[in-house]
Amino acid sequence: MTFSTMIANLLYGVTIGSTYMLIACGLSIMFGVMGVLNFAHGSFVMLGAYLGFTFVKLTGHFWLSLFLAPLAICLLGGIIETSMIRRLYGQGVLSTLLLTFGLSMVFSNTVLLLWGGDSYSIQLPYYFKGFVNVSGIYYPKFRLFVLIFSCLLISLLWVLLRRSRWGLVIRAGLFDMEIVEAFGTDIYKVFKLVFIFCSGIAALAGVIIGAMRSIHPVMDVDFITVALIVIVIGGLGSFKGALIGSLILGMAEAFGAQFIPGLAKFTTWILMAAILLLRPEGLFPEG
Amino acid sequence: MKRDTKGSKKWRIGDSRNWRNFIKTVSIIGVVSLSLGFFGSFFQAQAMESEIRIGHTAALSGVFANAGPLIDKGLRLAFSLSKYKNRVKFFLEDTQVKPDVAVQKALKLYEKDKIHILVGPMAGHEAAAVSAVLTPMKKLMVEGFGANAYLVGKDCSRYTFMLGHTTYNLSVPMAPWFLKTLGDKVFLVGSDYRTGRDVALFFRQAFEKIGGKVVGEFYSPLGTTEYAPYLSKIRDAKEKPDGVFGFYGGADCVNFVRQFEEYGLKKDGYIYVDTITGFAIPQLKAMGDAAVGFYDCFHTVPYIDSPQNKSFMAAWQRAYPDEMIEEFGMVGFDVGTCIIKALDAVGGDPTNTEGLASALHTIEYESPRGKIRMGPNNGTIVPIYARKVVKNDGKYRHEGTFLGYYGTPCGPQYEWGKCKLGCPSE
Repeated sequence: MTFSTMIANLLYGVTIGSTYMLIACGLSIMFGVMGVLNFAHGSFVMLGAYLGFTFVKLTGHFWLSLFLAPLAICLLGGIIETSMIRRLYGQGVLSTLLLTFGLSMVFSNTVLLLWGGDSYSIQLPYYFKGFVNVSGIYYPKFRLFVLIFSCLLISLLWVLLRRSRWGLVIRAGLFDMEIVEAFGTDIYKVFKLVFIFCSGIAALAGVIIGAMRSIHPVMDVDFITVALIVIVIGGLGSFKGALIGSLILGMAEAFGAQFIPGLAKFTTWILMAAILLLRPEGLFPEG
Repeated sequence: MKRDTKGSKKWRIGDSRNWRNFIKTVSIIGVVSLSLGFFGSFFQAQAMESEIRIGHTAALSGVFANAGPLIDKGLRLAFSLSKYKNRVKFFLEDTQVKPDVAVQKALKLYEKDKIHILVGPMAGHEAAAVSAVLTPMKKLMVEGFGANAYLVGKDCSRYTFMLGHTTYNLSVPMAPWFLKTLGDKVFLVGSDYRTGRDVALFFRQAFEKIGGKVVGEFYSPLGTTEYAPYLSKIRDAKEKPDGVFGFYGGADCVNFVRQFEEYGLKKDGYIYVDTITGFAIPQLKAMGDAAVGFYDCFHTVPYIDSPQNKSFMAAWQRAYPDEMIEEFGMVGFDVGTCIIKALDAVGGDPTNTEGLASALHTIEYESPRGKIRMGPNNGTIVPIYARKVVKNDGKYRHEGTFLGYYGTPCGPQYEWGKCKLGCPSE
């Protein structure tokens, strides 16, 4: 492997990891604060991608779709939280896991019904087409944008979690939600906002991924699998763990594809098994 | 208000007359119900006897989810135009492109739904699994897509028919074409499963035999979404290939081709050649301009100018005005037409499995794809085209180059072995 190939693969790994970050951080926060392992999180990413595709088709505006699709999924998230998830608080992780697993199947079939089995992709604005050539390394402009956008968004989330009042409540909630409630915070309001917010982030990731790759009705399974691996590696409920886990997974995919192409996906599982053997609670356990 | 109960007929315990009435009424209801049930079952059995029950194990989810419903539409269209249109009943099942699910669904269709003929499944590894289970049961399986050369080689069966293609006739004819059109250096790629591996292997054998050289290869897992690390291997090849050849299907092909362009390979003159209709019309709209100028290989070119294809296109547009003319529907239509012709040969009796198998074994007809003939190993001999993707008036189309008629030969000299039913010549 040449030096430039290694740098290129590092870059590919970071880009793959940055999209995983967008998907996994929401799932991780949701689990940490609410104790809900949302199996339908991958479906929110998929629905975001499909809605983004439809909005771009209808309006012709990528940026508008990047705003509208997450908004619609926030609304959906709000409805699901109020009408279904709320009834299962305090009944253990398994009950919400089963509920959201069922929801993911409903969404999967709804997508097949509404959009069919064809593959689609979101049309990009002309200025995102093409690539940049940095000393022999070809890098698509849009992926460069995804990398920067993800880093900015994650930084913003980090600042929100560290510096805002809501961030304080969420961080406190990661440790002990009952104490937070004892201090007079409306716990259900926090839950609802967290669920809505994380659903929106998932949809945002969906629009971005839909412009990078093909959109198809089983993409939700790929995303939820990746997100679960990431949060298991990083530590359940840990924001920092989700970030580091995403990067590790991205790198494993990029370098796995380079060294053992046929077993590229296998490398992620080996990595997860190795980390869990050494640190069963993940790399950065919360609490 | 006082209620007048005078004259009301209330049944009282001990009133023998009323008991008699009650028993009489129940008996009449019972006899009528039993008669209805008996005659209902009789007529239902009669109706089932005259029914032609076609099962379809299709890919309705997974990487080939776009193809399954279109093949099904083509199949239904063929029957809707036949004299069997009022007798046919379809049973559709999703295999999720998983061999175990495909076997389970095929058995369910035969055992529970009492189908007479099975169409599908979609992928080569599914087809092998289903055929291995159905053959000892002497059940028919008619395959439109599952491109598995072994099913017309050592795993061939009197009851399994490959009406579409195999990994042989959609890879080997491309070797001389590649050498002549693009050059003598190829980089092989593909999805890492039976079909992807076989396509590359058969192409490599044929290409090296005529003086071609393989400068590199990789196979990525089915369902890969990020191809960047793989694509860098093409750039890093010791010699720049004249073209990249392999098989990616469905969503994998969309991702591969889009990223092939995004990472600058297309701009630097690398040409990608797919096969098994990777650049089918429904795929092209998701790929956009990324696929324009690339090639694939298939046994039909949509919009080809022939009377059979014209009548197919007219029928398709009448039946499905919102659907484009494309390859999957056309293959489904062909599969349906073959079954109809086989039914004609046995006087429309779908229970005559041996008769249907014999009829399919010798089938020969002018299809929208061109002239189709069944080989002795139950694999069809079909026209093969190298197709270039072009964009005309904003629409993606194919420019086809006819490569000749190809079946799938068999024998000990081939990877897939010899078919006990017989082998066509190369």
